[in-house]
Amino acid sequence: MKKEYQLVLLIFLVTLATRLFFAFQTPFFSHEAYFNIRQIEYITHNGKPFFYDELSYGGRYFIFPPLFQYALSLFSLILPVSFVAKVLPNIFASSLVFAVYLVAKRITKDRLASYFSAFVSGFLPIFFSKTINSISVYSLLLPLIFFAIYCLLKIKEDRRYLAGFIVLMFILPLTHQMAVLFLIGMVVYMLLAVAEGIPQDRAEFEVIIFSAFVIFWIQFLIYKQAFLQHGLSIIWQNIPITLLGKYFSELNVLQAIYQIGVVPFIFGIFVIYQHIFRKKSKDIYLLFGFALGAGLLLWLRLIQLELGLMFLGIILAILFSQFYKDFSIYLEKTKAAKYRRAIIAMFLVIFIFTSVFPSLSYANQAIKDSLTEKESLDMNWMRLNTKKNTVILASLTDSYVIEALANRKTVMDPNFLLIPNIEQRYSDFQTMLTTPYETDAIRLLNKYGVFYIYFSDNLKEEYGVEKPIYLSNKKCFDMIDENVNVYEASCEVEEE
Amino acid sequence: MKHKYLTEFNVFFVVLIFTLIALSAPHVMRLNKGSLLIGDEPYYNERIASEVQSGEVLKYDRFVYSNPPRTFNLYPFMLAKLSRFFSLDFASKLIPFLFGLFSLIFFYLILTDLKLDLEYKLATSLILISTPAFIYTFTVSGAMAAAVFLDLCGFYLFLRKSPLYFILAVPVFIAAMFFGFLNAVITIILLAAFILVRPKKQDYIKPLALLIALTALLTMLYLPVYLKYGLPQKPEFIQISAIKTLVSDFGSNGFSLFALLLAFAGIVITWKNKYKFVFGYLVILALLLLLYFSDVSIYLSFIISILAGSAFMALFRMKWEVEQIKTLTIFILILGLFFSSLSYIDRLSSFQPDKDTINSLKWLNRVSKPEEVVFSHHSNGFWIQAIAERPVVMDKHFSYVDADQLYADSRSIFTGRNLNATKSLLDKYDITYIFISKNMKSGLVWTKEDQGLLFLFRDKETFKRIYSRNGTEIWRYLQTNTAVQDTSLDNRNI
Repeated sequence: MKKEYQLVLLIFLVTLATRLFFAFQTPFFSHEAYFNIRQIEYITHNGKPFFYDELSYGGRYFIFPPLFQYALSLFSLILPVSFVAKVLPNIFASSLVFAVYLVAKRITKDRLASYFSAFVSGFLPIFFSKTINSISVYSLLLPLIFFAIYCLLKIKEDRRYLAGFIVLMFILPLTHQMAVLFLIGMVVYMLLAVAEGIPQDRAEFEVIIFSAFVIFWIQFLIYKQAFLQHGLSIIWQNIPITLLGKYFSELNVLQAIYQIGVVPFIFGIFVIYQHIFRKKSKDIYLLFGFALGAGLLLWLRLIQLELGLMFLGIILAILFSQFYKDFSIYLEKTKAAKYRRAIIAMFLVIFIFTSVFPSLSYANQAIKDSLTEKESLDMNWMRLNTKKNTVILASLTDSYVIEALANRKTVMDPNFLLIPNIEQRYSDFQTMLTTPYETDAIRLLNKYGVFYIYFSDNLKEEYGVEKPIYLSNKKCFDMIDENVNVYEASCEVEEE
Repeated sequence: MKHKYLTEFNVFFVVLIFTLIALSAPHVMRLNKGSLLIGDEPYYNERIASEVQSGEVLKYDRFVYSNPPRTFNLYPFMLAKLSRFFSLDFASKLIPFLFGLFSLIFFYLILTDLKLDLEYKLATSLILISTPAFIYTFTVSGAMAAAVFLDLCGFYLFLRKSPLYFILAVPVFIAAMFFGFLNAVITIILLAAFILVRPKKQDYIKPLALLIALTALLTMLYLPVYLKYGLPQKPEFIQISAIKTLVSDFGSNGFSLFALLLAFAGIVITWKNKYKFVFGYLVILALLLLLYFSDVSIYLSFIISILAGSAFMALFRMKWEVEQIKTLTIFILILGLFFSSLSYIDRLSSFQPDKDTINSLKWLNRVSKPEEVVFSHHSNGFWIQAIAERPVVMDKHFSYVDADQLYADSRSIFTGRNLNATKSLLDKYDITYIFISKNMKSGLVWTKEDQGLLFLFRDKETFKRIYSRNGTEIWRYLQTNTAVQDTSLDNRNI
């Protein structure tokens, strides 16, 4: 293998090794990962995902593009699901370094700059932490998007990349609905190119039109029912209004810098300034188009903050390579050229301190926030000691875990799409957890058929309550097991 | 290079076949659901046609609270005439189907007269046939089908140079005035736009005379009613969102997103020849404004399909650098349009009413007296009037009733938890029965089980459930001093 690729492979292996080191600190996953665990297990046994879930919300339909789950279940045929779910998403996420290297090299034609970018992208704090132990579909989506960008850049030179691009255009929307980010980025790039009078390659224009139709059409096919039910508000995924702020948070610049990393953030922005407003480099415009598209969506709160920051972070990591190249060229012309190696080492140190260490710290926190041993035992206890086909009231954080490990129904979980009357349901949900009035609580518990209440630490944290007052009525709420904190609700409100 | 199969006959034949399939598919798919008419307007038209058949067409609608006046509409008369040879039900399916077929034929002929090439005509016609607005208008029995057909026929005759055709066009346009005020106004707008964009050399006297005559006729037909009762007002509770009305993928009977995107691209493409397409732009503008009052998507569909056809042909004829991308893009476009209309046809075939609704209303007709008023959501009004043959508080005709007041009172009945207040409103409208359809409990009226009237139903001295099957319920309001026979379905075997 060429030495060039050996080095990239090394960066990939270092990134992967670090990820796996953290991922295997715990045998469990983050709470939200358990939705995917169920799907993967189901696909492994049945050959297809389930779109009707009798446990979630006591019975409901899903819509989601299942390619990621299919990919994991393919390997689960020969390896244990938990192993595949730990390793494969981290392999996908680490493969981002290849995509970033290829794009950076295409833009800068400078190997060292590209190695740097690849290394930076491997340790973007937010991407690192959010994909390490959560079986996150972003671990596949984002590398695919950047491979698609690479193919787009290479189509002009080599038509063989066309086939790759076409395949990726079909794969992307089957992976996640946010494949539309790619589409928006391209549209913004085209508008920028027209506005700045940058001549556009005809083939580029054609593939952009094609990808617009494909992504749009596939997304529409998948989400047709959701469009019918929710209309344009599908963008906000039917999330209850009181929770919207949590999922679509406002962009905070300091937070962005910390989660993306100081080095890619500052130098990436600098490159945008240099090459957009001064040098008008076409390839940089393409990346800027993507960055601007993501930025706009973030600002308008049309995409979730974490995805927007991940995407922006990767773009800025690529742009960092251009900075490195420009800086190297500049340095050669100055007296400081003899200190070049020291300066590079300094950059590396700064990067390690501002990106690698925070990545490790975030990853550590993500592992701590994963399912704990105690929670796992609680789930096991519930599976063995609670009646089947019963509904458990628990926090949103715990709901996927209850469905996956305890195999019990829940009142609500974080998948809100296609749920009718979500505002009413969430209002009832909050009332059940926080009301001081026993009659109100029992009436709602009856309404949703709740047999058990799982009062976990997550619930206490989410709702800021120690324990609802009504739980002290031992006639209606019997604590079945002190260690597990599960109450059995046995009263009914009689209708006159 | 022209393909050997691309002949005028073949293209026309293909267009006809697709029209037949598109317009009959919803009815065919509905065969196993009881072969019922789709939607509510056909039932309203059937009811009026029955009155025509029996010779007692009233100037007022006695099946609605406050007996509002009716404005003349020729459509139910057509239905009644045809029902001499077929059943009303079959006539309600056949007439819009035939109008659709002939509308398509006239549209195609107009495109031919405009000297558009075969490929363009094929693309435009197929896009038109696939639009939900077209499928809906010519599947669901309603006056708009007749009005659109007459307009197309009139314009076709109009565009021909011979004076004989102009003479033939006059009665066609005059007939178009008799299918509702909105359709009449649109006909006049179309004619006015046509006159505005006519090349200066061409005679404008005759079209202008026709326009004046039609306006005079419109005034004569509707002015007496408006002078007496005022202009029809759009109720405040009706909120029309242009996007929701236009985009069928969001639940309306408008257009697929693909068609709209193509149409938008068509505007961009044709903008350089904007003076040639100014008629289309004017009409789009006028119809978009009219969207505020009512769904006029069918009229837009012809312009949209021409613009979308332009964009499609531009993409098709454009020299692509990458042939494979061209093939794939065109393929995806066609698939997108096709699947959109397929999905719409499937949705349309599942429109209410279903068998449960029909059976429940037929049952109500058997057990209730003709003068007893039924209260329900206004979207159920036409079915209750036509099938149960009972008057309602409110239906979907909002002209000449105090719709906002009726709506407010209805909302108060539906959502109020004060028994006395609800009873006084029920007494105000002399309501005897309350019809609860499945969708009313699924968000149309209520979002949870013991909301408003559903909570008050617990008062067994005031309300008695007399019918409950598959989510449909009928409750009787036990007015004081009213002896109640035990006609409840709960206690009988049906």
